[in-house]
Amino acid sequence: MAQTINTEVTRTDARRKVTGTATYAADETPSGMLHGALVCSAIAVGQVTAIDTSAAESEPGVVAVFTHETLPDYKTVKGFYAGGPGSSSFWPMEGTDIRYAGQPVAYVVAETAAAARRGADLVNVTYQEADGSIHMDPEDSFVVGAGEDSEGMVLTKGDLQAGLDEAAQTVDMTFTTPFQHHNPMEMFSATAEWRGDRLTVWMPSQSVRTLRHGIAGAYGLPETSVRVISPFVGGAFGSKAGITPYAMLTIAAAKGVGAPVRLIVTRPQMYTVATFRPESRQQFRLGADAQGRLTAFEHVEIAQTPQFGEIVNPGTHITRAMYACPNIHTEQRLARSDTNSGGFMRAPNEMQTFFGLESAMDELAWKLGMDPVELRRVNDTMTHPTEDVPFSSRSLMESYDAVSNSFGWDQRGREIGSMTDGDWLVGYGCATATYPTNILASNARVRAQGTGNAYVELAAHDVGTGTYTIMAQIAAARLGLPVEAVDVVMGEADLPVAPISGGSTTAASAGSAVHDACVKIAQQLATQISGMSEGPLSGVDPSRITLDDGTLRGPDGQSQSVMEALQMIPEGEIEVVGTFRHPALTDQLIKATFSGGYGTAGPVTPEFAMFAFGAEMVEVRIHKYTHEIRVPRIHSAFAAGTWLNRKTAHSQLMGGMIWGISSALHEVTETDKPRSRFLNANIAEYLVPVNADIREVRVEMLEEQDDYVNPLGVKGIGEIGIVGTAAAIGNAIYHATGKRLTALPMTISDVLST
Amino acid sequence: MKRFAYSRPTSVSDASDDAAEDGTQIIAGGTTMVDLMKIGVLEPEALVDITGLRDLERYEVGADRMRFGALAKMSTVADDPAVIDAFPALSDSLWKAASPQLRNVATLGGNILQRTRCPYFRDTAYAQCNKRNPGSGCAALDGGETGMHAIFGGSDACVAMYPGDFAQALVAFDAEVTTRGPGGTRSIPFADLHVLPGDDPHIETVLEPGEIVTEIALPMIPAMRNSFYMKARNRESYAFAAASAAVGIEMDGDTVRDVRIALGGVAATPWRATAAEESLKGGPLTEETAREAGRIAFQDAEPLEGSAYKIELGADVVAGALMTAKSRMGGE
Amino acid sequence: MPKTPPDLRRPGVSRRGFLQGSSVVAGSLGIAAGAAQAQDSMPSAEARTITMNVNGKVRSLSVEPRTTLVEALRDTLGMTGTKIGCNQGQCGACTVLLNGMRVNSCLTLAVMAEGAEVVTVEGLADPNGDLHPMQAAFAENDAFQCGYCTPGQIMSAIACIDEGHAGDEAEIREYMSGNLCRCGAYPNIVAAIVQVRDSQQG
Repeated sequence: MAQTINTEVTRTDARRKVTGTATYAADETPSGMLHGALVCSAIAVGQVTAIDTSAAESEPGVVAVFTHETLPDYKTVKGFYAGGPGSSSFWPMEGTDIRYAGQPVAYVVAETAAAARRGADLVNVTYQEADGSIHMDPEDSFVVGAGEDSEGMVLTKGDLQAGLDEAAQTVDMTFTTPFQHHNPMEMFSATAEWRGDRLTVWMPSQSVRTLRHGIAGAYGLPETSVRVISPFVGGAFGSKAGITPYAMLTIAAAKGVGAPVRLIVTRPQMYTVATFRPESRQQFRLGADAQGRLTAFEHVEIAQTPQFGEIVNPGTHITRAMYACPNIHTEQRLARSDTNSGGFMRAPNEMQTFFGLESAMDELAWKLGMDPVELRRVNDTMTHPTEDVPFSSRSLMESYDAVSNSFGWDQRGREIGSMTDGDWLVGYGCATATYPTNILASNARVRAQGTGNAYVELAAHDVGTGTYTIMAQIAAARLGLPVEAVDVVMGEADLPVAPISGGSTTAASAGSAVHDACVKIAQQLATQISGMSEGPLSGVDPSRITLDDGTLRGPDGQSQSVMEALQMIPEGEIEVVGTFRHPALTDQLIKATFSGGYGTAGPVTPEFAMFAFGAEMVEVRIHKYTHEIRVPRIHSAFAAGTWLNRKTAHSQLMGGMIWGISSALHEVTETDKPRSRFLNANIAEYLVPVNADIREVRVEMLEEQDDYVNPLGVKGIGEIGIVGTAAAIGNAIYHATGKRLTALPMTISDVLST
Repeated sequence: MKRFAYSRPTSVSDASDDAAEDGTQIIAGGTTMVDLMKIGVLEPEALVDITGLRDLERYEVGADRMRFGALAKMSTVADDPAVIDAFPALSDSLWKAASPQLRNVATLGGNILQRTRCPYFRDTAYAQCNKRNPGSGCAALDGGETGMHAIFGGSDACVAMYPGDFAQALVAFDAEVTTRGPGGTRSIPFADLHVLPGDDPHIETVLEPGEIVTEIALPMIPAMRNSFYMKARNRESYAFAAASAAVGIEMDGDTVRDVRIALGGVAATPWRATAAEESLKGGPLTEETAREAGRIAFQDAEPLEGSAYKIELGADVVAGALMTAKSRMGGE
Repeated sequence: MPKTPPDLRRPGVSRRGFLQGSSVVAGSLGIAAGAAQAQDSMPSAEARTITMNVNGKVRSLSVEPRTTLVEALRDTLGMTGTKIGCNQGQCGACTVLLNGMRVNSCLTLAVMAEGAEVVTVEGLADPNGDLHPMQAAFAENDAFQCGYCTPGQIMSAIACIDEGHAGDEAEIREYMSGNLCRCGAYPNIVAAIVQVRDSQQG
């Protein structure tokens, strides 16, 4: 049996993806389907005073034009950050209120997509406009929650001022990060078909069960009456988790016209009808003694939130886990502005906060005259700095050592501006990455057949992460099958409960449920075959039979393969539901997940703090004449427990690092301040890297064993790749130029005169 | 997209007649036209597809003149060894623009007539745009974001930037365009094709209704052979210029005999930097004189709040383009 | 208000016909005949029948002048392998080969592709199911994650080699820059192209 875990396995869905037969939501066309189009508001704040739909209704092919006054049976749900399934807690088209630019104000249904869009162009909306501001005022911020110390939003340990006073060197720096949009390549879409009281929704989703639970609840339907289908998702990165207004509008419109309706949200509309990464300010004060040991650590994060909700992705909870320090103060603050709800976008706080933290650490290293890697080494800790529990595993310095070796860190020039190559200034930079290991409850159904097959079914998702493949690998490894003998069905709400695909949790949580199902199959098999009159394990105490990847082993060396054992039992197959219930999961958290929510435990439990760690090193080049900033090399090393699939894991980590380059050098949602609009709402002027931007990317995947996090020993890897990159690049720019850049993205105009 | 009538004439005169009708636009590669129609910026009643005029795809690199039919594709010309050899900046200005897919359909004639990327022009949600809706005002100048706007040639009515690359190679090297309109054929110096926004930014060229660009021609001059197009952008490819420069040099020993400089990413129209050229003629080309030429090129710039960085960047790009062109002369 | 009362707009024959039925006529119409037909018609915004060779089959289909090639492929012909990522010529997800050249099918009017040869991702594998070498190389090199940009990447990659722009990795990167991949599979895409290029040369 070839090894199936911790090896390189080609994606099981690769053939479908390279032949164009992988079906994304908008590829489904129910019979008689019509096309929807959104009309979005031209103003940011105010009221709709009139909507003239006559021209749109006269347009050939237009079937219906719905406004807040005419859309029948439109339902809304509570927002995610208020404990509901919605992408926002403010719902458009319930009335005349306009709370953000680009808010849906009308919905056109037509026979073709072109006719629907043209109809949308012809809807004439009149507004009464009020003043607004798209940017937060950081000076007008507040702490989330009622109490001084709600859920650790403000945390004080030791005496910060004393720590600063005793420090040999201090840094006091403020960083800013911009609005960013996920921009998955697949445009948002929703297709809704009603048949009587039964509803089917095709929609790319990171949580089909959140959708079904929320939609069924909103319409007062049993969940069995609602199907949500999302077998393939063309990238999500946090943008496709909640129930969006455009989905509920489409469901209502389909009911209104009595025919299935598909809406494809336009690329510009994608900037306003769903979530985004809120802008932020990161304030750091660090102090260290002459040896570099931190004496003071302060981080105040101020993140943007809309007028109507409190979007908090607490970054200070993660930064304060990073380095040993006796005196710590952190505050998690929000400031409001006139936008739709932000949300979670890949490493939802870690991208911003680690740009700040790791840039500040670099500045501290220069002030101390220390190698920045050594500064991390002296502050490494095996105990969580504020929670007083050990890390379940922490391979930070192993990561630094591996990446230093791979990158050639010892070749780094000691002085600023000391490295050049032709017309290019060269700089090296490094930074730490971490990501919490979040824990969610999950189930999975596995049916193993003695004919040499297995079926795995669960309501998880493959958003490009390789989930189809790793679920098959886990079952294949445990049952002793080739990967291609395992069929995996996911992306439907009817399947056994699996969590939201977010927070780097699916492999760890849902994968552990698949693992558990296989163990249960082995236990049932052991009971059955030990009671049989013949066979190698006949008469063996079943409690002493263990599963050893495809083989059942007795205490005295007797063994039989799982497949042979399955052939012996009369059914020839066993089907079970496996579960993952980590001890840290409370009943309340399990209930949350099972009702479509995000019932996450961790990263800190009463016993351990659970994080993945890594280190990144980059070479940056800045051109003497064009001042273009390029990254010819980026290396990293990560330790994240067990690697399930070295091929897809490498792709995820590499993709995360490329996202980091993107955040560092490219991505910003620009704004028009007078009219409070996102300005570059397209994918030409909202820059993301093209192929030519990405050169040498190297990822070291370190071995690490962690028996506490889950039975597979898996930590999540979907997000950690992005975390250290922006700071590593900023630090390399400093090394090349002596310019300390504190705002993302870092662009040509920031490095002039160098 | 608004519904429109479509025709595909097979002669230039038919095309010109069709295109002269009110509400009619010409389409060739369509990469600008279809884009702007989709976002509602252009709403023609009729499109005249001129891609049937196959004669206009021809081009030649002659001893005295380069002639490009208006329908020659960007990719074809960019990749032609004769073009690369005779006039590298022209090839550079083509392949450093857009993407391979766009260059495969975009024509040279369409390229020179491409429209601004000003976000206020491209989003009909903004009521103010004098270019899109004459007399409505300018959202960019009304407190808007101006980091991507013109620092040369703007007016109180419009500061939109001309986004093209190819045009810089043309304007620096005395190109001419030939047109065919209802009134017949005429020749227009490329430098006169585009007009400054002034009070009427919706008028971008001197072309009359129905007038079709049929050919772009350049006289062969020695500075072409030692030419380079440098383009600074925040993304390595598939991005508009933050600043760019098309340059060419002809040396007489250590002395500059002829030099051509045009600036991209900074002006309302294709923009030749004549004063910078003059500063170099008759003298040596060194890092110092190249940088001085860059400074001179931008001495009359009128930056807006967000675009001041383009002065320093643009000057450096001019210097870099000149020094690169010089270094590439090598042993020739 | 709905223009027509909902109860009268049940999925019906007329709409089904418009969307799925009469517009697709699998036929053996010659390309030249189709071209002549289009030229004879007067300028009009109404739908007209055009003929294209799609993946080796001559297809006649009804399109409006404003119908883009990608809409014709996906909505009229039901060939959903070609994806729409921006609908503005900015991402390359809709890349197909038009008369052998890679183009963004979202910026191509279907009427302008009258008589053309179109190759999409569905036309690459052998009829017996063997993958095109570029498809196999993408699978082997994990040259995608979500897979949404992949059909366009593969069409573009094939053209990149055919155009002679796969000389070295730097050239491949530059000439694959019209295809955005948000998952960040670029290095693996380059590796896949290098593999196919080398196997073709070898």
